[in-house]
Amino acid sequence: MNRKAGNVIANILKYGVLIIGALFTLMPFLWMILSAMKTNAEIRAIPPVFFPSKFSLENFTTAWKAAPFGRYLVNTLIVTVFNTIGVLITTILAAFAFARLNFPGKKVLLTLLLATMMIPSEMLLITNFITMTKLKWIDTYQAMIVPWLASVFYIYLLTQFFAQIPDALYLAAKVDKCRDFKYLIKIMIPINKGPITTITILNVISNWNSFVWPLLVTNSREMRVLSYGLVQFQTEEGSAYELIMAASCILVIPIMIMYLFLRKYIIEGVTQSGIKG
Amino acid sequence: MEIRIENLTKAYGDFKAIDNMNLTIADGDLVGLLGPSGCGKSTTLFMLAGLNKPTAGRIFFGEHEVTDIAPEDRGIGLVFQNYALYPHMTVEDNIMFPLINRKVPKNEARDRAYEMAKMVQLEGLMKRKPKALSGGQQQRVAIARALVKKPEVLLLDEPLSNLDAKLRVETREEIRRIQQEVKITTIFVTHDQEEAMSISDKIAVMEKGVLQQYEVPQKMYLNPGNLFVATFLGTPQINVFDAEVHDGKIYCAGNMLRSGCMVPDGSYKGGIRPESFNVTLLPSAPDAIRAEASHVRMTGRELQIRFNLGANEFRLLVHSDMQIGVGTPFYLTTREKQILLFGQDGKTVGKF
Ligand SMILES: Nc1ncnc2c1ncn2[C@@H]1O[C@H](COP(=O)(O)OP(=O)(O)OP(=O)(O)O)[C@@H](O)[C@H]1O
Ligand SMILES: [Mg+2]
Repeated sequence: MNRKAGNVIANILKYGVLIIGALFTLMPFLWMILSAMKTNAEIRAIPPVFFPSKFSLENFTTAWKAAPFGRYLVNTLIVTVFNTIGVLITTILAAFAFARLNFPGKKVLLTLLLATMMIPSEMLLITNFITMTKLKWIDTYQAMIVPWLASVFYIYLLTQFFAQIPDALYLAAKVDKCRDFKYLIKIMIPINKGPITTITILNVISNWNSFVWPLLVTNSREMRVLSYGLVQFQTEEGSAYELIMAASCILVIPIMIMYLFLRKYIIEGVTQSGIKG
Repeated sequence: MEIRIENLTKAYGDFKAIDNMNLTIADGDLVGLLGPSGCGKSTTLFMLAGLNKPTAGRIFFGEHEVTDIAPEDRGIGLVFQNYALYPHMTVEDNIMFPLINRKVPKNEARDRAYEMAKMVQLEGLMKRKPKALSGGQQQRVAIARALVKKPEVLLLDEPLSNLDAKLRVETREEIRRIQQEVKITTIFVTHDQEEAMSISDKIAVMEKGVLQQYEVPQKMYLNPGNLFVATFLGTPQINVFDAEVHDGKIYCAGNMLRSGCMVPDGSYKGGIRPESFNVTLLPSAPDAIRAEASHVRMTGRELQIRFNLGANEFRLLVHSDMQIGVGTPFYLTTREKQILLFGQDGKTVGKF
């Protein structure tokens, strides 16, 4: 009896904490969606109102028309797709080399790569910008894609996963006439599809959300990306927050859809720490 | 396919994992490669497979030298200790994998995979992933995958060590059956001497990278070439004692065990197996030695008795109907040709 009551209290506490956590996470989202439907007066009201007086989609149409979002979307897609493909290629090949192959200087190289993670990204922005200018790549897609084609973090992450795959699998494949590259394609990648999916998603999100770098290296309207769409509602006369919120919704929706589709793999990738042989 | 190993050496820096090994394995034989952990069994096997490059020496399969040939071109099937099945592929795909890589058409590959699966009794499991199989079943998938490309040599690295005791016995018989059916030259690595003795045509015992003896199981058990082989084979272990020889008589702590031996006088190591004693409760012969049981353990079929002669402790086995308890005196003689003498270098001097 007592024990049962204790269990109930424990459960209430447990779920209470989880609900509060979920609310904290969801609140900004909810706020964004609700604000996107408010009028300018409502959004500026003090004290703030939580719900808009009427749920209208007017802000979305206004925001969509205010900037060439279609063009921005295409640009963002181009940058995201090509960068992600590139990142996957470099990450998988490098991780395989570090985890599986033996070559002189392997340890030193990995240490050097890891050391580069200590460099603050703001510093990279400047040097990369100078490089882009010298290459005359300003206002091109490659300026947005190429500098971020390799990520030490992803390489390190995937190396750890690759290194967990037992040697015997590699040797067995060798006897079965499956050389390094084929082994990578046919065995390593399928076995590690969880972590690879996770890396893909992380990279897509970071491309999707990246703001400072595309802003720096593009000038013309035709080359701008989605995240830039948000800035133009901030003018000298003030910010049209309801439009920013509507635009933010537009920005986030594709990512949300992707997440829903790939949820299974994301969770697998995060939880899959030990792979059984 | 006959396998011939000539002066094979594998060194890691100064350390010799395999030291000048010579071995010839007859076509169709199953050879148990036996030795304690770290003695170089896997290293030897991997060199035969081509996964490990020898520092020196040569390997022949039949007439052909294969020392520098790539693993996939050696015509070997290899089974690993942990099976090394591809976890993302079904049983069928696992077995077909070596064929697909060799550009065998898919239909033919599938037929051969099913044929193989039938032989190792895996039908009905072909669509499962390895995770959904028991250890014994995974093991059979690994064997099927190794055999499907019709290799001429089958190499097994401790294939039974992940199975429980009962399954081990069943599976080793199974391996023997398959091996006889395919008539394939097979090397079977194990550190379990009973396993090696029960299914091998011949056993090769290794220690610290050196091949100690290569012989038919029964002969090796009865005529070990040195002290190491004698102690490594048999459970409970052979009794090793300090032996003195005077005028052709073998003594242990003053007790005469045997007379009429043609051996120079001196100190030796003696060896006698626990099952090689004749035990009676009353003196059976004038030279029977009196001893007292210090420990008695009942194992069902037999009694395991411990006793001492001087500082030497012995174990012996008698039928479990003998009425011997701790402290019971008894008399013992040793069976003919069952006392081994080893020189100070460990080499066998003779059997008396
Ligand atoms: N890459 C290596 N570098 C250095 N020493 C090695 C290497 N590989 C193996 N060895 C050594 O060679 C010896 C033989 O190893 P091996 O794996 O052949 O032993 P084993 O007989 O198969 O043992 P086990 O029964 O434990 O599998 C061991 O002492 C091991 O430490
Ligand atoms: Mg081994």
